[in-house]
Amino acid sequence: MAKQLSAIVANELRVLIRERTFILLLGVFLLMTLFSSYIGWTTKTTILAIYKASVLSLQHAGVTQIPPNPFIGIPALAIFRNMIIYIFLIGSLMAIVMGHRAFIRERKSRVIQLIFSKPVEKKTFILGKIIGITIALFSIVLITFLISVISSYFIPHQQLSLLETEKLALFYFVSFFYMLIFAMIGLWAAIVFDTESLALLVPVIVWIAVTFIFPELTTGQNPVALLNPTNIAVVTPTGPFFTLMHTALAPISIEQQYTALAQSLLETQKQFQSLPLSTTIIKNASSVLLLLLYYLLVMVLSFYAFVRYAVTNDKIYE
Amino acid sequence: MNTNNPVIETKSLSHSYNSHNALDNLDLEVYEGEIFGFLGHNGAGKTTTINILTTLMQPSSGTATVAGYDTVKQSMQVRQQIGYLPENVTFYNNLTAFENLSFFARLSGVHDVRKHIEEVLDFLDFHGIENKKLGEFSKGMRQRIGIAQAIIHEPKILFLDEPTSGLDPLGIKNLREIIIRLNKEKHLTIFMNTHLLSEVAKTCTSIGVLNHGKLIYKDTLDNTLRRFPSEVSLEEIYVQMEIKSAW
Amino acid sequence: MHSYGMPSPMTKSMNNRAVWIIAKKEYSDAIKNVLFVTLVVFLLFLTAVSLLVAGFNFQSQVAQYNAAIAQLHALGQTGAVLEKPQYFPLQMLRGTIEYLEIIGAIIGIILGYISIAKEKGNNTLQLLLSRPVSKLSFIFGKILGNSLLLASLLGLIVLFIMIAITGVGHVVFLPLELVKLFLAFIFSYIYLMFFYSLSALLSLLFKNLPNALIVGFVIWLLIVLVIPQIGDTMDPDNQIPGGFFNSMHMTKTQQQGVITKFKTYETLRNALEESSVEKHYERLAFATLGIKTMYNDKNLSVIFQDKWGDLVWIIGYYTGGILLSFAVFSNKRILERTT
Repeated sequence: MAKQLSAIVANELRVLIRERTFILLLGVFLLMTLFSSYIGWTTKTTILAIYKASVLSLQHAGVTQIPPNPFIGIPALAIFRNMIIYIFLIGSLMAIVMGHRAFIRERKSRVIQLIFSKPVEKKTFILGKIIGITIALFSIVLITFLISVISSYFIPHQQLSLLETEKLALFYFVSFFYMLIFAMIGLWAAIVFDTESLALLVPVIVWIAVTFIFPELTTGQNPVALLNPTNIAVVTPTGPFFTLMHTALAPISIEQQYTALAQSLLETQKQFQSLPLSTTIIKNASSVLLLLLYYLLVMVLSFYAFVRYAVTNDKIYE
Repeated sequence: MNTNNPVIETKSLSHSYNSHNALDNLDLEVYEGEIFGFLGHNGAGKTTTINILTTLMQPSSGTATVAGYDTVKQSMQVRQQIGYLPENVTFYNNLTAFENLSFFARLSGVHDVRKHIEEVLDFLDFHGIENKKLGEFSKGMRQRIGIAQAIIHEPKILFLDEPTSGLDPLGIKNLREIIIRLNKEKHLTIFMNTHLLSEVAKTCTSIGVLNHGKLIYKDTLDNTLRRFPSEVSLEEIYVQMEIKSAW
Repeated sequence: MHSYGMPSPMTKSMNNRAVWIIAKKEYSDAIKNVLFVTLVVFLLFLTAVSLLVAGFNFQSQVAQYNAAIAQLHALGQTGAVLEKPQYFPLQMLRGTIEYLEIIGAIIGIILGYISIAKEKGNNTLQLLLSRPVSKLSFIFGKILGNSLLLASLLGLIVLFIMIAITGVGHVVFLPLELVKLFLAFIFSYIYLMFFYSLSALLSLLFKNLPNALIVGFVIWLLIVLVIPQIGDTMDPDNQIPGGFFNSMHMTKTQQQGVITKFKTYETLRNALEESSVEKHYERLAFATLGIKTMYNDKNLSVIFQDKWGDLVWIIGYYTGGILLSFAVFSNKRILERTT
């Protein structure tokens, strides 16, 4: 069984890196990782320069009481804050496609029937798929982590301390789990639905619900505003409706759980700065546990969906 | 000729999908060394039979044994003994022929994968294609890869579902020769679904006819041809049987 | 009435009857498509959610205002310094417009995909083109059919809004507001139709159809979500709560003076935003509906004086998309790749 398992895992990885759509998504994702460091850096240097120019302009106008620089002491990690958004926008969509392709491929080509005419247990096969997806995602996240670390070396005054590097690593590890949840949803839908486009659309609807609808219902923010990592000015509306929504939806709103955790790890606000790793985790323990719980849930769901799947079902419509 | 044990045996095998009987109390025996041609119109239940015999599907009732193993209770042992090529498989288009074959060989627990692949491709007289991607293959070439994956672990019984579908005349001829050589040289028992009568006459040693899930005829090819006047073609015999059973 | 049985002698040019038949088929095919219907229901649901949230949000603002006034009164002050939140029905549509930007675009992509995929998948494209139907009639039929479909969808949403605001909220629309609502409807149609033609284009170009859908999603992700988000993030005024220039107590002219010194940065940021059709649609719709408060209650002439550029952009994207799909469709080589 171990031999079969490793054959399935190796095959999954080999097929994946030869798929054009996957490579396209991966390319966009890696490019955005690199770009996010650049955006973070250029924005930071520009706003510091703008502050200086503003001070000059105010002094010129005869203002004596000049407000202090609001950007002083921006944590070094904060330049990566756009990554949070790229993970839940591009990363999770890429993960959905990975999970989707992992099963649709065998199903459409009927290779599934060949596989199960060999002495392979259903559990071995689905476990192989899950492990393959996990390794692929982990490698991708590892690469993005390295891109972030290396790019930070080229940015002046951006050298990361040991604690910051650890926090960045943990941020990517959490992101890995977040994407894994979506990969499993993609896999599950590909097993359960008989229409290829529906199998892709249903996870995308789940993704939209998690990324836009739940946060809107709990915070009253409009969908596009939720994508601004700097938009921390909003006052959460009050009243029985939002209280109810918050209580009911907070546990299933995994994007908000992820964002809360990611923001404290990336020190997007000064209050998070220099907090030890353990404190950061303890403060967000519920988010960590919920993410883990959801991962286990969708993994078990797709596992059993496949155990119940009829391998001779060769219906699949575009 | 067929005095030895049956290697495929079904007893009152039935299968129904949403109250429609795809298979109705099928009793069938196929003997070692035979090339068995399973005939029938579309939807007669041929693929359902093959799905059950290859353990991909479980029957609603009745039993089937392949190489002495029960297809439900001993499915893994059955799978060790069989090779299967379903209809219209397209394989992994982005992988090379070698990568495709080595994957299926590993799943079958083959040791020394490279040696086995070389042997099989040699047997099929299929050279210089190991490093080509399957996406570039013609239907006939794919079918040969299909045979290669089915025999790579040296099974005793080979199942083929409509193996000639979509092939051109030359491809059909090549496939026929391969099937006969597998039977003669590798001593494989072959079970093939088909509705091409001309193929059955040229390839098979015995035939069975399935109609609406029921076996309406089974005998060796020789007996079949002997039983009917020599000027009657197999096609006419088949049509007569279909008409009779319809009444 | 048309005469039956007589083939039109002008098969090379447009044939009204053929256009109409194709358009009707597009319409009826789409409303029978599970994927499309699912998305439409989803969009209506989101419209309801966004109106609901906007309503409760407003209620919360009023409650906060009243509480603040009460507090001030208790301290013996008048509440004159505080601005009372005012209800403008069109401003409630911000979430709806944003969902149209996101989900509406997906609906456009799905429509473009099924419109081409159904012909390519069943090889009916060749069949159709072997009839005396010109390519021009074919593509106009498709565009007409899908335009009617999108118009019905948007009509449904407008109806939904009317029922929610007038029927449930008991607020009557003013004539000018109705005109603005209608304009937003037109802009939304143009925006959605752009995604239709983009996706039809991809489906024509790609051999493997599901790949066309995935590439469509990637482009959607970039132009609808990622690029506008980058523009926002890079906005210097957006970096701290309440805005940077506000915190510096700077006047508008002082701001402008500082910003001009960072021209390349601003040009880069602006170019990013300009490249996204979504941003133009958003600016136009937000100004028209008064969601951008400086345009609230303004005449159309004032709005268009500022926003005509955005209108030109979205119309440009719209015609560009349609012309390009037409060019691809007329290219024999690409069509031959479909079989």
